[in-house]
Amino acid sequence: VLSLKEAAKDIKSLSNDFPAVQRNISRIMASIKMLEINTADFEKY
Amino acid sequence: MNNQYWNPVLETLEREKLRALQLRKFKRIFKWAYENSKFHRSLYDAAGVKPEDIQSFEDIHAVPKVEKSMMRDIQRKTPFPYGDALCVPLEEVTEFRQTSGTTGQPVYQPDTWQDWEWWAECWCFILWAQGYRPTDRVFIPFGYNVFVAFWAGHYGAEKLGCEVVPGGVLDTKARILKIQELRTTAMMATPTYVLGMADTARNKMGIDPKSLTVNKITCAGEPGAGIPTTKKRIEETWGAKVFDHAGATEIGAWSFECADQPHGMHVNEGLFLVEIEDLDTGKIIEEPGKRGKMIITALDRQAQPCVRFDSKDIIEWDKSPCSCGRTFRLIKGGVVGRSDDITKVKGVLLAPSAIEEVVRGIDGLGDEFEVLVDKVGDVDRIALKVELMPNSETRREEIEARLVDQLRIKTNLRYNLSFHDYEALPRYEVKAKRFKDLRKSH
Repeated sequence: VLSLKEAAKDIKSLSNDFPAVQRNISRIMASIKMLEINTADFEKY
Repeated sequence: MNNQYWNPVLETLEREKLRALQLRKFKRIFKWAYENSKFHRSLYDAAGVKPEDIQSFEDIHAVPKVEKSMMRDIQRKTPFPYGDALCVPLEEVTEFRQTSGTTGQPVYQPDTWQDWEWWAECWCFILWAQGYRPTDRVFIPFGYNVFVAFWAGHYGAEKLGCEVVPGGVLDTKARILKIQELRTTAMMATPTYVLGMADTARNKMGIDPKSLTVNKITCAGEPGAGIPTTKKRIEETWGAKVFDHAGATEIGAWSFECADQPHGMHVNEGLFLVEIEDLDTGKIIEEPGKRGKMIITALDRQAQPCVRFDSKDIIEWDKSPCSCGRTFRLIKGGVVGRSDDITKVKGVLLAPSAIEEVVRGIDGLGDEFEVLVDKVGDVDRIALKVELMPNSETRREEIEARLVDQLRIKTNLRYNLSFHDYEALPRYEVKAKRFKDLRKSH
């Protein structure tokens, strides 16, 4: 999940003049956040 | 892996680990609010609480509460329209909703797309626990508008994989026909509206709701599905399981009744921290069986954080763990009232839900009723209007005797009763206003 997050951040940083990429990657990042809530947030437990 | 949980790890996490997770997440959301919202920062600075001070649950109890009236005040100030509580740039807000305004000026609620995903996620926990699966076709008879109500339920069901049928601007008859036509298996609505739909189906369309294919109904917006007599009425009328749920625009969808129907609701403790505050002492109640006011934190909400929000909902912890195996704590009987609803009449504390429980428990009375409280000189008066079902006129004396008796037992008050014809009282779709305290307008 964390590597997905890093990859999404990299794509976002390259998407300034590309709305189709920027908005879609924003939505993907929101979904990754839900994965974090459901897994990575408590993996150490 | 057991198929009954949306998140089989989080929902069965040992209590100690769950509490540790809540503390860690509280620290994170508190820091987020402190660093990104001027309103929160000045509130906490005034109380002398900083993010690094939060090391235990006792430290959390020292964090100032936020009330709805404070949010109203903020939103009257610049920047328009959310004041200085917004934690993200305005261009990141993708969703606008507002509270219903039942208790005053509505509060605006901004959400980012991430928040909206989170809303849907909250609902996935609810719906999965109540037996919704991708094979379900879900009908939502809700006027999609500025109120959040079943919007998030819609997105949650969709995310879970259900086929969702939006019953938006259709009238009640058209909605019933759509349910019949599409053989929908589930529905989400307020208890009042579910009862109203059944009434229309039976008495105006000649359709027995039990003959429709709806096998589960998720209720929200009012306490009805947590009131045993109302729940029983809906279940018998529709031949469906009825589940309670509670949520709020400023909070999120924070609780749910599971498929085991334990006469209470689970708090989603993976996503929310619920504290119960004693109404007299202000101390936090940890033990079961004692009612208090809910103070709640949404642990992952971003745009307009909900940190120690004073919801005014009255709840109590249940002592027994649920047979479903979730470690999320149960609140007994759901939300049993609101601290600003409970009122004194003739010196007796009265929760309006107790009257509903009595009326809906008497065969021969209609679903609707109205309570009027006023004052003559220094003396309170309380009147109750009920509807007699068309085939029950001959039983009026027996029904009246039972009503008087049950009201005395459950509320310790005597009422001026009046019986009305079936359909004489107002019908509601959302936020029914059946309790009118005229003393407040004097």
